[in-house]
Amino acid sequence: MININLDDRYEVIKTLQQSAATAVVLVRHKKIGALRILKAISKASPDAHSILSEAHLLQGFNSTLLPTIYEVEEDDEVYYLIEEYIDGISLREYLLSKVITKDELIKFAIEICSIVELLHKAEKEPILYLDMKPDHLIIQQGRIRLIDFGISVEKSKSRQIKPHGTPNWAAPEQLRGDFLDERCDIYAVGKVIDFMRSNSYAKDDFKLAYLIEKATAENVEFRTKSISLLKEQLITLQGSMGNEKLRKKHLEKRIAVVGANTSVGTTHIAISLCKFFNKRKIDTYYQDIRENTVNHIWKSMKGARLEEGVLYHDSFRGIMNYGDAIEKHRPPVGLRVIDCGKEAMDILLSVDIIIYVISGRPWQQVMIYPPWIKEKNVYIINNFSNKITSIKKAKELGKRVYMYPLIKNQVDLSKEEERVFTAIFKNEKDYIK
Amino acid sequence: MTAVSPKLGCTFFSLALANFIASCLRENVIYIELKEESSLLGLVGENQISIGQRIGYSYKGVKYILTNDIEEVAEILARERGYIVVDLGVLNSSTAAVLNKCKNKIIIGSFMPWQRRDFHEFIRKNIYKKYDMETIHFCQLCRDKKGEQFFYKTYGCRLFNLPKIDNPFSLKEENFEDLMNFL
Repeated sequence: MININLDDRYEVIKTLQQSAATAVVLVRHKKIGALRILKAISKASPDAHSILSEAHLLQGFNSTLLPTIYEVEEDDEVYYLIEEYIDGISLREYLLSKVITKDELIKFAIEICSIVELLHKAEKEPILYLDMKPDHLIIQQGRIRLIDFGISVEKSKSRQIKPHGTPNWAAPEQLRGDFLDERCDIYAVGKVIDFMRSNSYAKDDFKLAYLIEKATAENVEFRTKSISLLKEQLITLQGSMGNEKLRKKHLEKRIAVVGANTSVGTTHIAISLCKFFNKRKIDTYYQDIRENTVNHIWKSMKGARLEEGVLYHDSFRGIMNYGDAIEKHRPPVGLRVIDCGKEAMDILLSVDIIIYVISGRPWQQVMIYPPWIKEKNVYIINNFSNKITSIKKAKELGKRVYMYPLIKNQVDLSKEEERVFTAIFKNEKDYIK
Repeated sequence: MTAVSPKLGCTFFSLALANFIASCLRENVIYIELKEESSLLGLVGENQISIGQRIGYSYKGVKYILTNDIEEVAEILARERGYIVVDLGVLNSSTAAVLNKCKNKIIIGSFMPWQRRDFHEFIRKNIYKKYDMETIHFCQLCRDKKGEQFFYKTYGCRLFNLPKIDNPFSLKEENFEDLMNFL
């Protein structure tokens, strides 16, 4: 049992944790009456340096998100660390008592990212927290705070540490004792967000599921690149939820056209959709995020006009994908139709409507559909198909499937195509006037 | 691309063309600066890459090879795919071998009264009766209608005008049509 010799200044209120060589005690400062946490560790313990390390890591921060370190003391046998007492309940306890909303989940997730971002962007060098779990996240007056920096290290020293961390929360490379960088904290943050999701009303949210999947990728190379990126993605998600509530105007909306397979007519449908809206006097811009479709159109299309990064041709408006050696232009304001090709999960996080293009051709069938296909804002178009295959698909997928007409004229928008888009967007009252 | 005399904008226009291909047409482009001493290394040399088995540099989407080795240039022309813009600098007997291997040949001159003689002399000495004049694009720096007519009467081929470009590393849309016409 460790013997605490700071009775002259601190009154012990409660022992929170105790072992042979360590103690975490809630104390009251005798003169000012403030509650504080006192951590004590025997100098004989092999982990004795952890208290000094924690104090050293936290001393440079001046943030309300992290606990304040007041004092580091020692006597002949024990090191003492006196830090701020964060009065609240842990995230684990909080989630045991209630099911949280998606709003609250994302708010907490952004706050967690902000704390980790602060550590990763520390002035001297990045600090790896390495022990992210719901028990170390304290909810205090509706805000999240992080405690216990006992195993945190500066990035340059991470090579010297042994395999450690809490199984099920720590990144696999951390438990194996491999090379560590900021991405190991991203993994643990992803796990915490997943834990929150399982105790929330957002269990089926595909966008959130995708973010978690990227953050907790076992292979570090496939993992979300930085905590700032994860935070940015969460803010986008929060923004899109806000927009749903505020009823964002059509000019700020983004429609993604995604193909179930290659060569299913994604680009043609996206271009036609852009023409459809422009014919109805809704400023709409086509954008290809994978290829340089608009640049190729410019090369081959006579009578097309270029103006401030936009290609104009009849009712088509396309955003040119310029490289670095072209003068920069401000993106145009208007509805955006984004041609995503086959795989475009990142962009799907920030779009309002998804047009999912499948094909009726037998050799272009897919066996597994994405989980988000059943979402309310996803519309399915069956290209190169007939009525029977479209009805079969609708039964298989459990939602309406719009049969796309066979196109004879590749350039002009046909009446049949217009009918399909009208049928889809009559559900979205902002679009069809 | 070469010029009849120094300081006529051969490098400037070569860079504009290469940047246009890379940033507007979004095609692969290699820029070869064939000179004893590179004038571009300080600008484009920060990001080193390998092009085949050679060391090159990447800047704003264009791959740069800075060399004075004619055999190496000939090999690159034979092996690499995509657009290759060669800034020949001065045309002499050895660089002429590289010019011969290029599919499109551009020669820049000026028809200003004090530079006209250089243009004629260059053509008579290096080009006339050595190359099919139809395979070469002759360009003048500043538009001169009389010069164009005189050129056509003398050599039987057209004299093109170089587009007015402010900065080859920050092209404007108004330049695109002229640059596209060159291609």
